[in-house]
Amino acid sequence: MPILKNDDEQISKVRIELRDLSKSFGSLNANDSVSFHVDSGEILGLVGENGAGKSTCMNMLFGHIKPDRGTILINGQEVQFPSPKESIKAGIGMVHQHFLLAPALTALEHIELVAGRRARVDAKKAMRDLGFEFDLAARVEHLSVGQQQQLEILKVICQGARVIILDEPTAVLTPVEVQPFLERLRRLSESGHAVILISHKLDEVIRVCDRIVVMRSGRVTGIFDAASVSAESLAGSMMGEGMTGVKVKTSRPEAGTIPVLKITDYYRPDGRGSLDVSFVVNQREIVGIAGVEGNGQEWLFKVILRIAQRMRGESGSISVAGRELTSLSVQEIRRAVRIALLPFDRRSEGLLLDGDPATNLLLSGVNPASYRKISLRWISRFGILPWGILRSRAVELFSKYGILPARWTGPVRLLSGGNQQKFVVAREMEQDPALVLAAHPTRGVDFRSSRTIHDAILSARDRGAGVLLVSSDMEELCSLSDRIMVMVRGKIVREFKRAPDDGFDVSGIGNSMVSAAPGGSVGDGPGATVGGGPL
Amino acid sequence: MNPVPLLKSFVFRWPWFTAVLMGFFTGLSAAAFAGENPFHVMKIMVMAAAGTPYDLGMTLVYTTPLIFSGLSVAVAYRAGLFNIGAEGQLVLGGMAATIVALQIGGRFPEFSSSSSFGAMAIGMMVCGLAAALIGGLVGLMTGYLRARRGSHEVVTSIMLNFLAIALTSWLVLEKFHSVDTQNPETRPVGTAFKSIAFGGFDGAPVTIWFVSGIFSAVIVAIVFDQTLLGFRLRATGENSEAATFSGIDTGRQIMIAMALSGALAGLSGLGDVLGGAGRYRIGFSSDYGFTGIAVALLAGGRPLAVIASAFLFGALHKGALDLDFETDHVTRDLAMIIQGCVILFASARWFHRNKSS
Repeated sequence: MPILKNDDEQISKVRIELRDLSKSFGSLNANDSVSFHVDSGEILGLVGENGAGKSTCMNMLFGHIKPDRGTILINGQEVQFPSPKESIKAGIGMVHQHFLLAPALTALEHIELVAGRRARVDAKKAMRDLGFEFDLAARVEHLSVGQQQQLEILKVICQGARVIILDEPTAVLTPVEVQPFLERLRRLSESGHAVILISHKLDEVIRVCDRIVVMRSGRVTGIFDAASVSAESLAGSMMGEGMTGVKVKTSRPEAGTIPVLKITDYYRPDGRGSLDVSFVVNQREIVGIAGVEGNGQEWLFKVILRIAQRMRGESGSISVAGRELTSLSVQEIRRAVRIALLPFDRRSEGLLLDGDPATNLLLSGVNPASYRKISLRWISRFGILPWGILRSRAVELFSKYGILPARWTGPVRLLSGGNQQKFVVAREMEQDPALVLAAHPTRGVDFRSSRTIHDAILSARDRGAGVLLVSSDMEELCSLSDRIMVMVRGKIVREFKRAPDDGFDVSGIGNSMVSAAPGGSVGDGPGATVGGGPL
Repeated sequence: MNPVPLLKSFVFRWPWFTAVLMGFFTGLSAAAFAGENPFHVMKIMVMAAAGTPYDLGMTLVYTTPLIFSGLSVAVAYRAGLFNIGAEGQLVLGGMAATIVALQIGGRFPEFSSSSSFGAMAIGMMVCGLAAALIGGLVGLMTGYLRARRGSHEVVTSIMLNFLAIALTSWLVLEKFHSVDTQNPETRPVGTAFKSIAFGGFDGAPVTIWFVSGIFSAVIVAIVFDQTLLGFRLRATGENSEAATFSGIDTGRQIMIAMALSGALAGLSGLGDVLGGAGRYRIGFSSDYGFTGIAVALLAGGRPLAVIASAFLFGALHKGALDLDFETDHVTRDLAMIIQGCVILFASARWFHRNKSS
């Protein structure tokens, strides 16, 4: 039942306590005696590297996974959640990183689906209380990613959740959306909800949370008071080696002047993925592309690789390392030039999830020329696969990039997200690419892994590759790029150069990102909704 | 020890075995419900399937086409496709082999009478080639329509089944009909084209095609696991988007997979056409093409498992034949019930696996 009844009535007080929760998968202790609690009116941060056990823990709380040992108590009473149905009934709500929304339904229809017709009043009140800004009558496909997220939270509230779990909520937001989001979170907790915030971004956690639980390899390694803790000590507790998140230092060789990627007056008419761009990426240069998601960045990659369908009225030229690509097919392109691709969605575009690492190595190596190191003879002559070489190569990459578990031979589906990403990076960057197309290389990745990935990108640059980097993480863009271009609606609206004192005009970039995008809402924002992806 | 997790781990470790066990259990329960002693029914089926060398031979005769059609479905499945057209490709393949045999036999009389090993080997190869070629072409057609024109292969291959059956019927009745019989069948092929049969089965026509089936399964297994082609088919089937990004022409893989699938289906009928009857009979296939779907499904698309799975369905088919006259309340249709239940339980496996991950 909806809990928000009328103006004076606060939702009932609640305290959720996890006591000694343990869960192991095979020999892996995903959670080992995890205990903490969260109260109404409190925001609890939950931080830890990829694979630290945050998701397992929350999945147990939400009834997705059954704990091996330990108990969950609500207001002192022990409860069991055989499935999410029971946990929702008990007032626990979860907002997943990937939204579960139908593009063609309106926001209100979504609310009514989960909470019944009468939820309309509650929804309106909650929106007013929390400062949500979107039109309930609008279809989801017309909402921005940030607004979709608000809708997801609203859904959970209208279902009567008193405890709200948010999984990496800021990962999908643009820099300008983050601050208002955190303010709304504050109001959410002030209205009597208990909030659990899973995040990688330590500064955000410190800014908004009351207490912070740190996890490492399945254990709680510290519970801190956010008012008195520093990012360094949190990081230390997360990594366990007194390491702190030192940013990539950028003393770098001069960018080259020989163009690797050259796009001249490329124009793709309106419809799906309109583009109108003209730029160059040189050897030994990282060109960052900043922009609100869905402004053509994905299409840019697809057009370079010729995965986007040809369109009437397309014009202009795209060349890589001097070879014109516009008339080639994707197969010919992958054969002709060495392009490392870190795709927008590693799971759907970069991996065979049921395959082992050796099989997945082939996913870039099907271009035999790019796999000369491994064994051109065998692959090209008879099509016989050199499994032995591939397997040892996989082991080598795992250890070089610190991918865990080492010597993994099972399906890559079972690796954590960060490790999957590191594997894709390892596979693509180790073939000595001329051009690197990297999209959100560290999204949802903890910062030890992020550093490995950043190092790999920087070292590819220093070896002479041109890098085109799309990211919504401003820090990442600024620390890696030599130049940053701002893309709005398929056009480059401004270009920023790295200043001599090693920095970018961050606020300038932020302003030009939003200035030309009215309402912050972009029509073809793909990937934001279920089934909304292009192609 | 708690029996529940034990049972669970058994089900997870041996899902196929569990499916077969549960399928038989359910099917035999139905027999019991109909008033038969299930143990008696089981005994009749086992005896009928393998009681004598002849029975075992006949089981292998039924197994042979199922190995080919099961492989056919498995190859398509590897690339994410569903070949329902195996039945049509099978009759066309059988017809093509018959026509080639009749034509060559007509031109070169020595083939009609010779039964030397050399002539028989040539006969087998020529007929096999013709069958695989025609089946492959039909498969390629389906693949082309899917890859380049976007028509779903299930729809086109089902429709091609009807065309294939109509075409072969016409050919049999109008062009190659035997003069010495009233049955809807062609003239007999020359002796050189009759498949080499193995003795020791008391006359059951277990032919070289059974061995070829096993051989084909091994080849397909090698292609799947050890070659670039196998990898490309897999990538196309499992994640065509990632495959495209990595430079695999998924449309081409779809056409290759369907052509190979069609070629294997084309070979399915040869054991019956050239081995058993020695002529093409309308309706010789008792839904081998469709049963191939069940065979491949139970085998989980793994080529070597297809052999075992085909044997199971072959034995079920042969075993159930005796039920008609040995029992009072059930007929050979019990085989269909058991088959259906096995497939049902084999499919349930996916549900389990998805839930656990």
